[in-house]
Amino acid sequence: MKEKKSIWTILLAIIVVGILALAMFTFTVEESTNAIVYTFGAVREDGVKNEPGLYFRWPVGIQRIVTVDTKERILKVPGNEPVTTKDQNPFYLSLSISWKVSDAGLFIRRLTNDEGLTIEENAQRFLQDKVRGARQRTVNQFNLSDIFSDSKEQPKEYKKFVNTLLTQVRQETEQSDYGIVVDNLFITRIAFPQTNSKAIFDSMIKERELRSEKNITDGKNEAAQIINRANLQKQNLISQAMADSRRIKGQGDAAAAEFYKAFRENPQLANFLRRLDTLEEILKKKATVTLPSKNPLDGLIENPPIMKK
Amino acid sequence: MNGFNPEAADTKRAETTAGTGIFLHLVCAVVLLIMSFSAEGLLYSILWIQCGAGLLFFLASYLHLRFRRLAVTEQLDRESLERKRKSQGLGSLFSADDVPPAKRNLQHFNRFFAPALSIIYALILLLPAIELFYGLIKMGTPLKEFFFSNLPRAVGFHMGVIPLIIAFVLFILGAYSSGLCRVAHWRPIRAGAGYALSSAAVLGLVGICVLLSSKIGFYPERIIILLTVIGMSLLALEIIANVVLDHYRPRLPDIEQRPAYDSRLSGILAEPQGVFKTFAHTLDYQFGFSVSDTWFFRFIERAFAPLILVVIVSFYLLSSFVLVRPGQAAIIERFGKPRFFYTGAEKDWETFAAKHPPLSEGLHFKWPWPIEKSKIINRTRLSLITLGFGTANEEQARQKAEELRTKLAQWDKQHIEDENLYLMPLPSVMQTGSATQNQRENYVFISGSFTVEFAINNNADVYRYAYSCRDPQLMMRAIAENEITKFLAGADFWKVMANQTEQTRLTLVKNISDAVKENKLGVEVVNVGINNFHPPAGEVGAGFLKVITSQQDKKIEVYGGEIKATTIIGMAPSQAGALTTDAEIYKFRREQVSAAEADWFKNQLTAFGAAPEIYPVLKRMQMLEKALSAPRKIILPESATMIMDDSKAADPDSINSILAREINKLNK
Repeated sequence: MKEKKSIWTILLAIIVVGILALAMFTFTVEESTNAIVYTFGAVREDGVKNEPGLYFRWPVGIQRIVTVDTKERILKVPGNEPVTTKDQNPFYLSLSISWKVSDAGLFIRRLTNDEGLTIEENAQRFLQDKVRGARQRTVNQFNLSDIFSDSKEQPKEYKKFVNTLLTQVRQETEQSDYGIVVDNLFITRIAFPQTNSKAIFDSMIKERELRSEKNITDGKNEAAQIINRANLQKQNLISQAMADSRRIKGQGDAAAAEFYKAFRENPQLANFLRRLDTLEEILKKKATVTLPSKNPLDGLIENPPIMKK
Repeated sequence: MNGFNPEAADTKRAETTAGTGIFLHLVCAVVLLIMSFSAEGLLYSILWIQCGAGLLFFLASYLHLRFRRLAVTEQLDRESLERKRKSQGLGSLFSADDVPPAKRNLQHFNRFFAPALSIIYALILLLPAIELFYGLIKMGTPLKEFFFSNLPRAVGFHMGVIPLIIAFVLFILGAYSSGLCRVAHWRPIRAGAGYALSSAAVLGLVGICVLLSSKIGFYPERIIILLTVIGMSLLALEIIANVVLDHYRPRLPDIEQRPAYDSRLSGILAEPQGVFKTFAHTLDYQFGFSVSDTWFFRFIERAFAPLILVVIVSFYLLSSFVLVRPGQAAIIERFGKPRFFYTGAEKDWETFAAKHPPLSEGLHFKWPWPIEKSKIINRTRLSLITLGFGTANEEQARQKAEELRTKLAQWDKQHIEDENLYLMPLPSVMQTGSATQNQRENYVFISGSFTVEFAINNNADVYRYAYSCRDPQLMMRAIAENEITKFLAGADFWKVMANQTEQTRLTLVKNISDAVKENKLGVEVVNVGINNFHPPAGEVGAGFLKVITSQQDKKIEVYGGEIKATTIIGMAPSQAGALTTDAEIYKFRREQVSAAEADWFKNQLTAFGAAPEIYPVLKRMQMLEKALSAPRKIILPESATMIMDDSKAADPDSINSILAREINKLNK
């Protein structure tokens, strides 16, 4: 029983030692990762492992393994300082670039530093410098009015601008030989300095004010025209009615004239009777009559009618 | 305990073990010291001190065993000599009061040297605590903040393996030593045994945490420092307490006391069966019968360590199971590369995914860690990025978008901070005359927020997504921002904002999808949502609102004109009607009245014809009777004249005054 127990103990010890030995004498390179093997501080010819898998190594003290992620990374380059176009327009251009490590050994070697920065931080600092420089130089070659316009040529110009910028960044990065390759470039934000933005805001505001004033003026004009037309229509209507009423009255007078032929039989009598009616009518309204003391009633009416025989 | 058991002379094995313990602790401390130079943080600086202190415990154990052996050997030699002399009839060479040198040395060791060593050991154990807390107090760092802040980095693999190896070695040493200390005369080695096992426990914990740090995403270094420092401090305080208590404890002759440095705390590890014995006695006392004699208790006592081992192994074997939830996919990596993907193959994910698709939802098996690891990818679950706010932080952007959804967003007021302004060319309808000399007026701004929904739809994209880009969300955001900026740089302001919003959205979906494919991101754009295109909020927005208002004002003016026109025209027909009606009435009257007048005249004519002289007078009188009944009548003498001022109305008072004047004239 004791022997069985000691066999198990030995087996367990072998397993544990085996696992620990495996851990000490092997390392794994992950997919999309490169590993640099430093043997006594130096990198040998076969010291860069680009393919993923399990590899043999000597323990710590003899060999040191440094891994480098070779996946695409995004670096943001904010537009903190304005760049000026060919047509003298300053603006802030924020970019992002996608980059990756193309040569892990070179990457580590060139970007290890004594300034307390990690290799990645140093790489980002280096790329930021390159992008800023390329940005300024490229923007100087283009007019803002070509990049931002509603012309048919605009898409081509925009593409040309981006491609030129990307080419510039790539060239500078490759020239510096840091084991980095820039794959793509993205424009993420464009902003104007505050003064310029304000000028654009002001022009938008003014344009809108002009538009609204025009609308109101158009409205007033249209209203006045409607009123004018209405007045014309009214006057036409009244005038027509006045003409019609004249005509109708004339018809009435004409009809009356036919009947007044009867007065021709004794015009004097007709006159006399008419004057009586008129005097009666006049005296109805608040009249004061002064009469002579002698024959007060005489002389009130002259020319009595004569009987026509 | 009888320290002078003859068997106590045989301590070679224990001494050898103690010597080995000294050597191993020294080597391990040196290795940890070397590691502390390359490791970041304080942990390895504390560990080498902790490991080095073990050397001292084994040293003390060694000295104790040696002195005892010498004392026992000396005593045996003395007794042998005494017996020999007695057999020869000689007297004793030694007096009863004589304390043999070795025994005296042992007594001095127990009385003076052991306590002094204990104090020194305690101070050494307290050093890390003093240094750490003094340093923190000097820096002014709150303790909670220091100890419970996680470090985001993963630590190198070897930084975990080496402590595990040391832990293993010390465990073997401690286990062997604790086996030895069951023998009474080897018990002095218990101090070193306990300490070796506690060191093994600490280093084992460090090794496991380091190896798991890459998996769990953080490395609880500071918590381990805290636990280690607390453990060492407790040990130190116990040793000091032992020194003080031993000073006052009555000493029994010929009974060797437990040295102060022989900690009871670390003795729990050295003699675990002692813990069980104590636990058993407690249970027996509580239950009132020998619980510790039951088969179950004895089984647990025997099988405790193997059971712990089985649990540990079981937990480890759990890493062989992969649970993939709905909407997820899993990639199994064997020694770093996707399973079945052979080294040197061209990375044609389409072909590889067709043959070896990622694991779909369900329970799957794999080799345990670290042989195979699983990488879980959210596949058909939609991911979302929110754009248009001046932040790249998705959480903040979503909060702003949510805020915008819940509040009433007015164009004339700044409704959210940091809303992006996208530059666009000035549309032709907004150009006011000839090209302006100020080129800045050739542009307009527009604001808007967007959401981009994407998912991984096919198997090849799962691999692409996992291996192409370090931060796919960030890449997606950059691509989307780029396409939006590019599109708006050449678009028509009014079409985008008002007329063709849906077309704009569809164009953006296409553009962003194409860009994503070009960058081989491994995702598919499901939808692009445009939440709110509007002119810059504030004064500009107010200007736009003013135009809408002015359109209403225009309508109001027109309506006002129409109302007036209606009023004007409205009365005209009635006025015209009135005129024609009057005319009609006149005509009718004229016709009727004139006919009646003609008939009446004919009758008057007849009457006149009948009495031509009388008729006029009659008619005149009839008229006067009727007409003069109402008016005022004034009869004037012939000589009176009446001059009336036509400009004045003939009121009775003026007539009266005229009359009075005339009458006065007459009377004169």
